[in-house]
Amino acid sequence: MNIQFKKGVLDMCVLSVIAEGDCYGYELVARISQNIEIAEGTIYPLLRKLQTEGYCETYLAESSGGPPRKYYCLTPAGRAVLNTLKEEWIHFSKNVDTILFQGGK
Amino acid sequence: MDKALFITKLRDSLSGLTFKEIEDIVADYEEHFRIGLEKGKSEAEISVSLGSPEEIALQYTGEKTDRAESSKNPDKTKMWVVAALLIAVNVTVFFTPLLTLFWVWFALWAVSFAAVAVGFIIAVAGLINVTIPILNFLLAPFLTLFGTGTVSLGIGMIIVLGWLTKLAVKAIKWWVNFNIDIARKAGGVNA
Repeated sequence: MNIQFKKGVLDMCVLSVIAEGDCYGYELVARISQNIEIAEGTIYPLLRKLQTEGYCETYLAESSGGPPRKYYCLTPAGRAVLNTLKEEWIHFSKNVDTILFQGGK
Repeated sequence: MDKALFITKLRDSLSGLTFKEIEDIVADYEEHFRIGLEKGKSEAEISVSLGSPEEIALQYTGEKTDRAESSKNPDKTKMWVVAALLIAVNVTVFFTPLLTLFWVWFALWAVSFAAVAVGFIIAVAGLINVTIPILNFLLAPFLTLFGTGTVSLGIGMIIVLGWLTKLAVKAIKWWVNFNIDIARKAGGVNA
């Protein structure tokens, strides 16, 4: 798939996965890459960026029979920005469809 | 590419960030490898799905361009002044305790090796008494037991000391790097 498409929606996708419930990096990466073909390593820099922007936070939690894992959770600011992004996406993709399939009429 | 190579390449490509930032980032990928291995994937498979470490690193260092810009005029004098201050403080605070610890460490190693050597001699003496009962052979089994016990104690101490030494080296390295970071940041100098 066109890399520019992926870049544009990845932030929104990552925020959405975390919004469904706190999860650790590997799980999050797996869920994204199951649906979008992507170099998995590129999601971690994104997670760090979302953290510095204040959209998500991390905490350590014990895992069954292993060292603790780093979990990601959404901040209220992250939830707000996700809602905006989702609305924009619905609007935008509808408009793009109108152009693609009806020539914009 | 195996995990070790991936992490090394990532670390190398991240130079320019602070020591702490690099450690934080590397920890994320180490966790990713750990969980992937738990799920039955091979190191090679995991590193292929992660993608090129150099490109990943670029995503981290690219975000730091603002800071790189601001450090176009690094103040080297300031960095060296801070470095000198840090060295002075470190020497004052740590010199005596570290020297004491060093001698304790040294003595413990000596005791461990001595225990192994002496225990071995006692154990052999006990064995010889068994086969050639010149002396009171009733004592022989006790000598062997005591000797073997002493050797085990010595070996146990060597293992624990080795582990502690490794830990200490790691801690010292971390502390030195942490101090270097402080000095660099003070002068706005990138690594």
